Amino acid sequence: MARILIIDDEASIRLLYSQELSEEGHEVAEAANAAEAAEKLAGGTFDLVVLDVKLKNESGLDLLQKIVKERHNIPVIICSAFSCYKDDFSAWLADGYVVKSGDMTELKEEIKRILEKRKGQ
Amino acid sequence: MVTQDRFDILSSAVHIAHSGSLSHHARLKSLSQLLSKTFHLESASIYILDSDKHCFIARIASSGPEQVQSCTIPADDLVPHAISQHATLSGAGTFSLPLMDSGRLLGMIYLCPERDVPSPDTHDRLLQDILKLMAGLLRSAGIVEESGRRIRDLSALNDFGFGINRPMKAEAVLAKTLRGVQGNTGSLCTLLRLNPPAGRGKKVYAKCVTALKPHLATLHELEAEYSARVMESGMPLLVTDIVADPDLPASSICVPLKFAGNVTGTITVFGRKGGNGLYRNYDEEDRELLENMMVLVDNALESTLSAQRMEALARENDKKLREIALLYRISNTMLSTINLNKLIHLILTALTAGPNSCFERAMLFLINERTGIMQGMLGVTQETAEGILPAMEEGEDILLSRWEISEEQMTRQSDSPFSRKVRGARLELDRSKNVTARAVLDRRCIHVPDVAREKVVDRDFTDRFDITSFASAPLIARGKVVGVILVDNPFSRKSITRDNLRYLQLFTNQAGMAIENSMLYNRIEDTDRHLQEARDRLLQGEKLAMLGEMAASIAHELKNPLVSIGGFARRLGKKTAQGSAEWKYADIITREVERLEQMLTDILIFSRKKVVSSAKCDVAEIIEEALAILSDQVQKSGVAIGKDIPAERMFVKGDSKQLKQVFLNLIANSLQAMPGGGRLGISLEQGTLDDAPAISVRLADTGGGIQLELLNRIFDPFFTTKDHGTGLGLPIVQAIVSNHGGKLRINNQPGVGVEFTVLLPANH
Repeated sequence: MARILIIDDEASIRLLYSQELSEEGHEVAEAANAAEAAEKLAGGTFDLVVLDVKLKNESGLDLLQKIVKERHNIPVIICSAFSCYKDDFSAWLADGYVVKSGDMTELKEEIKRILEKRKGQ
Repeated sequence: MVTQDRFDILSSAVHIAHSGSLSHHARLKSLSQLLSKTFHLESASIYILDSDKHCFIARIASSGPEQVQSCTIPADDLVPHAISQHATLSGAGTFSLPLMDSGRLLGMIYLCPERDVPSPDTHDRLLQDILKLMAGLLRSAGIVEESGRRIRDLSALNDFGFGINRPMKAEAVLAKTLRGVQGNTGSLCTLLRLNPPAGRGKKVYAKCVTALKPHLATLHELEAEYSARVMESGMPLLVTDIVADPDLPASSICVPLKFAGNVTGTITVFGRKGGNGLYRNYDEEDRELLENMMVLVDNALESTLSAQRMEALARENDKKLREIALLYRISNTMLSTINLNKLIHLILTALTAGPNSCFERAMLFLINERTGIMQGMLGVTQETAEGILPAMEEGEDILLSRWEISEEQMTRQSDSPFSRKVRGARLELDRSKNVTARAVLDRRCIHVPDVAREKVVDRDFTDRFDITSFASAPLIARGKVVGVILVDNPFSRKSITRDNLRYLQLFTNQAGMAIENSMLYNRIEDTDRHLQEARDRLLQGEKLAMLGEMAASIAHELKNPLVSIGGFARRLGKKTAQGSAEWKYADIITREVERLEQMLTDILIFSRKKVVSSAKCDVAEIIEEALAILSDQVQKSGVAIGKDIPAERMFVKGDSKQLKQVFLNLIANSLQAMPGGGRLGISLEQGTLDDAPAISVRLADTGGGIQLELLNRIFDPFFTTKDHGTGLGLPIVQAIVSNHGGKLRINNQPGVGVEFTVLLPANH
């Protein structure tokens, strides 16, 4: 199982994701903004980051660049309310792109695919 | 003879000579009788010499019933003799004596003594005295006759002048001249010759007494000769002793007839009948009289022709004024309406029923250059045009006057049997088959006075309309012949005059300008309408864009809470026993959230403007992908899909995902329109879009089509007829297609189905 960091400004979403992913057997940490995320990332090792594009006053895509620059080996899944960011160049840095939905199936499968890909490397 | 007797005789001679109750001739006759009695003469004859002393022209005899007998005896031999010798013995006792007054020889007297009686002594005082009395009488007779003639001439001139100096036509002046000259100059034959300047042949008018009619040809010849001489010299001609023929008049006068200083003809008179009933030669006084008469004729002719010219000018002016008034009216009328239909009715009505009504029928044909046909549009007859165009009222302002035609009148005209017949007529626009086509192709008025003699004519047409003669004129607007008007007079068969043609020409020119105005106005209206529509579309586009942006921001705000609601409802569902009431509630929440999420996705696709991805897409492939996604629904709906997709690959440039969305939406719509099954035909083919190559995809269903009242609204965002629709399906389709530079067309057949055609620019 993996250690996953969820970065989202909405508390209820963080709660939903962490519960769902914990039930899958993952160890989940949460961050509401870029500062918290940096703190969590500095404080421990993560196998995967689930990142929202729109954080309150910050851009998730900027944060993505930072994460990719500083910690080369952590895969990131962008989890946005909308599909439009898929076409943004910055979003291509991410390993996966999932449109947020009450139905978590897609996100869970994407996590599984990326982790398995990592394992195989 | 005793002295007393001689005195008595002389006394009675003086008495006779001064008897005021007797004419000169009667007194001379009485004196000659007195002479015969006194000198025992068988006869005493007085021969009167004419003024020229050429011949003796009259004889007054003592015996015989007549007072005077005319004669023509040459005096050449006798006169000198008589003057020198005073008496001439002529054998058998007869002798002649001159009658002289103040040394002037006035005549001769022949004395014939009774048988066996000696001749009287020519120097006898009594005889000499009586002869003197006779000479005095002759002289005074001459003076009386001379003054009588002058008075006659003057009064004749006066009457003549009075007769011709009245307003009348030139012909009447000439006729009166002929009559007046014949009556007042004692002419036996009068010939008047006119030489018209334009060389329209010479005219000779003749007046001749019956006795001379057999000689008219000879007189004409003589007249021609004299006239030629006078025309050349411009001077009058007096001819005496014309020919030896005793049947012909002996003298003639030819006088020039001048008009405005030019010699325009001559008048010639032959013979002369004197006031005393004797025939005489014309003299200088006669010439003068005739010349004076001709001066009067010149004046009369001049004033007549001036009057005629004035009249013609006035008539012309009046005609021009009426024409200008009419044109003004027509142009006012035509400019006051821009309704093309009304204009055409007015044009044909004015041609058949205007104040200058020239034609009994008028037909209008419109040109179709593409098919090469002139199509009958409207026919108006005098009957259907009657009463529509009243004549201008007295005092009506010409600048404001115009005609009007009502809708009912127009309907009556176009519903008339004639107009229906005209609408059924078609003429070929080919000059080798139809002369009317020339009016169009040569852009000019054509007049066919006799159809039977015209080679190039549509016999079928002319027979059907009973046309024997016609004219046609083109209607030219904006430099293009738009139609042709055909006019004729089938009822009266009266021929079309030059004036009629001129009117037709003027009229069609005016009509062409009016049509041009009307066309320009319609164009302006069209352009205005297009601008209005474009503005509306722009506004609509702006509104939609704003709506899209708003929708996108709302969707963003809604998406996160929805995800939470949906996520936790699922969790609840998982934690409760399946089938329990709680599980059902959680399931409802889950499904409703799914619907809301779908709606938000649609809104966001719709609000997106640009084609982000631009790649070469295989249209057939995209259609197949869309069908694959919807395969479950297709199966469930029982709709048969008929594909007509050629093997040749067709490409467009664009975003394949968005284009897939287009076909997904259209196919899903069709399936929903056919809940009880049906057929959906999908065909792919090459097409054109704004003259550029394009790919055309047609999707035709059998879903009953769209109700007409809804048709205008199907592209409005959020408009839906379905219970669970978002109302964004078709707006999304349209937004994507137009973002790709394409077009979406709808062919709606209410009750049958609807066909959508997606046209996208081709990419080769």
